[in-house]
Amino acid sequence: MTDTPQDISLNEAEPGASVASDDASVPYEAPVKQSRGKAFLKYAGLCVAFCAILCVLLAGVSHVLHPKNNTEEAGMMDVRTYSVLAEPEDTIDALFVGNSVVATAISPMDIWEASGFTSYVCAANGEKLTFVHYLLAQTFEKQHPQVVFIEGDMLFDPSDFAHLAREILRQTFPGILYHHRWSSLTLDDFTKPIEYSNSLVNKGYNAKGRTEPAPNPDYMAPTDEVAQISKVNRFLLEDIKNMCDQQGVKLVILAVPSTVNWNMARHNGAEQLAEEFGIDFIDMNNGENKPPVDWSTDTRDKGNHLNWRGALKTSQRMAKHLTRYSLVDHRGDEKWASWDEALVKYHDYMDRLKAHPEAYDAEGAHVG
Amino acid sequence: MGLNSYFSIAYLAIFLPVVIVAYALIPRRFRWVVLLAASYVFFWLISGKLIVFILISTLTIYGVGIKLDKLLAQRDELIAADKSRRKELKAQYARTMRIWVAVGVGINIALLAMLKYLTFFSTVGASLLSLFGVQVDPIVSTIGAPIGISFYSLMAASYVFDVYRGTAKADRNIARLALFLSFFPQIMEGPICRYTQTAESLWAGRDIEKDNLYRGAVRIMWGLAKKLIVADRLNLLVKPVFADYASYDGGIIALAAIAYTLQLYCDFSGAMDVALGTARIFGVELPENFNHPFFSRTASEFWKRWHITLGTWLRDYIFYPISLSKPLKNLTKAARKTIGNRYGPLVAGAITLFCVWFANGLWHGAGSQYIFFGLYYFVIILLGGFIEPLAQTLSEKLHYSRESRWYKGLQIFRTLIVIFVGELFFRAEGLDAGLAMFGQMVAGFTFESFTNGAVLAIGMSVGDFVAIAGAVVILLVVGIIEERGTVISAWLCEKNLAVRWVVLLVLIFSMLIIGSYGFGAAPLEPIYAQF
Repeated sequence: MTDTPQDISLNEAEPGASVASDDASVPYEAPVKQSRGKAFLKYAGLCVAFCAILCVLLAGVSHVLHPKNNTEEAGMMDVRTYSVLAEPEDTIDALFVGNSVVATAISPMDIWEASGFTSYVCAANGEKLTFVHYLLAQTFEKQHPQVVFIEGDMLFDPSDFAHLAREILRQTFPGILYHHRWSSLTLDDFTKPIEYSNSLVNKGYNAKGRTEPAPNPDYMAPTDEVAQISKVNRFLLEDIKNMCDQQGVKLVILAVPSTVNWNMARHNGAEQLAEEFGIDFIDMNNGENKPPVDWSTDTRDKGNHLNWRGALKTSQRMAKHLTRYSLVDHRGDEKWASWDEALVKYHDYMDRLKAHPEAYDAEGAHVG
Repeated sequence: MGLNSYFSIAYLAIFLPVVIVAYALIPRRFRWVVLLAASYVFFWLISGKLIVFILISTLTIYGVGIKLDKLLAQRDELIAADKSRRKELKAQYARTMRIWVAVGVGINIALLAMLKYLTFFSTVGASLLSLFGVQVDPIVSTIGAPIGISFYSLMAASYVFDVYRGTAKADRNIARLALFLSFFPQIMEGPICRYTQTAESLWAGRDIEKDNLYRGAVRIMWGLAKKLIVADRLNLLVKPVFADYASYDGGIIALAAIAYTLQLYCDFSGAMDVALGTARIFGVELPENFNHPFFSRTASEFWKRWHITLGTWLRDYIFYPISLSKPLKNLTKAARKTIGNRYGPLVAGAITLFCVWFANGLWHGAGSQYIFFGLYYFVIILLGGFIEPLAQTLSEKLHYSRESRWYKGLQIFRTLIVIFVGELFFRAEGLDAGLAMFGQMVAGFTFESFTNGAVLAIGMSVGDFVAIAGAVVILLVVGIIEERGTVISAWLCEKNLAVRWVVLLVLIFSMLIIGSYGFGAAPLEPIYAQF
């Protein structure tokens, strides 16, 4: 599609024409029939109307393209992350949100076994803070946890406004995320509502079996350095805090054990920000909340993520920490009977994982 | 900010809207400030400190332009005072002016050579010296090249040439010159504009008009659709085949050559659509870079329809000056006497063509495959020149019209094969790989991979092939309509609001739904931004 086919020399000016003049007054006069303000308002109005139609259509298309259930077969991405939406209403006491670091470190079933508190991990690989806003907004429609732990590692991600814009588009119009389904749509995609009925026994925990020791177990050496947190991430954290405040939910910044993602400079940065925002900061790499992680046996990939051994220790330590929030032990309560059933399945799953650690380690394998 | 492409969200959803709103709200006489500031911010966000090189180019051509202008004025004054010395004065001033032209053009070409070709030429030089037993380490450039240096350097050179020739008057307003050279929609991939084509309209600060806004938006969406639906999708096939060609038979390699040609066209012409669409919103008409090149009947015609502004630049600043030079004129005379009027002029033409196509190949990149690519077209076009009289005679003897539909079709088909082979070498990872792929394609051609389904194991699904086929049909239909003289975006502007909006919405949704991005996609870096 061309504007002027054949013509490769538009606006050919005569040599020495007004082009070379120093005079900033412009020979061109636009055919203005109304004041610039009115014309601008008219164009702006048309643009707004067009965008409104575009948004309405995009929302409709998004509904069609969105998978109709939270299963891999249905085409859902991040099945584990969104599985919290399949839990019965108001049954979760604590939420852990973040990226793969928290997904491999916290096992809600181990916390349940140790304390009777219900929790869920809502995390996906490489997720940024931008994603947390949308995840919490969706989760709060069904769950009213007493505390939300946000993985502090995400505060140091290099988020920028372009990423923020992309995430807003992706979340507001999931058709953009699921557009690749255009060639495999069925009649159900046009007629059925979106459901979340696939509940997972691991409750969002991503158990890992492999062991690769960390080379730097003394990663929390004292320093006065303070790692910087970008303006975008500060803005996003403030937004998440406001959202939690509105819901009456306590927000806590959490640092789970990781020799790759944490050090004292980051600890100082997160601590400073937590103070500034009036949020608690729990660092499990350092101090009283540190679980007895053995970095020669408890990490999957040289200290980046924990394996099941590290996760068990971290989860048991977390179960103790959760007693601070006056949560109720639900064990034996009929409403939470499904958690006891899930616990049996969870142990089965973990036994199989311990027997075949490599087979159960691959990404996407056995989401539980 | 992720402004590495005109197709990025950062550019389309943030940068461009902000510039448009700022431009619309500011009084007309200051709008150039918005465009210049936006252009330099854009350059800075992509190339950082390397922005200094475009500043050097701007200052150089500004200074040389003024110097040339003064010399011209001085010469004309002297001629007016003493008309009898006209010839002598012209020759005398021409010598001085040529030195200044050499300074202006030389600095820009030297910067281009230093930043883009230093490593290549020093490696070639070191290899040549090693043949004589001299071992020298090649110089490896660590500076990197600023965005668009291949494009703005040619624009800078053309300005100096034009002032020297008197086709443009030297600009005493450095801001306007800076804007001409750095205008953000054209800086990354062109088109290579002439000063007389864009400087005035860039400076004018025209209002954002309804038709321009619509046509600009349609053009941008059309470019996006080409890039996202075709170019990025074809990467799923092109990338693996060119990376591991030994694993594929000749049929697949031929398919990859065709796919790459289409990919390159949709990527580059798509970027041009975004550039021209963006400029149109500001009331600026950039020159077209493509004119349905796959309808070309000869390789020569193809280059008049493909990357038009590079072709015209090479024609105006290399082809004409060399072919009109004294030594070449003398050579033509001598050749006419020796081998006759029919083939005599072709000798000098061949020398000129060689220079043009060598420059064309080299401009595309510091690599042997690019130089081979240029020389490939040199040979094809030269052969065309020799064969043309024979073809003419043959058609007269056999009584068939060379303007008949079937003959034109055959010519287009033949040209397409020439183009596909050329692009195979162009995309191959080195000349050796190109030659090996060509050999494999010719010697090992088979349809087996298409019949046993192996073609679907490379990366593109049936859905992807269907999307490409649909896109090709649409490109073909649009091409035929425009070849018949209808400018679709202008035609659309005459329609009522509902029709115009529906067309725009269809384009947007085609791109959003069928586009190859996100999950499972292999996005393609803008190809020409790397040249």
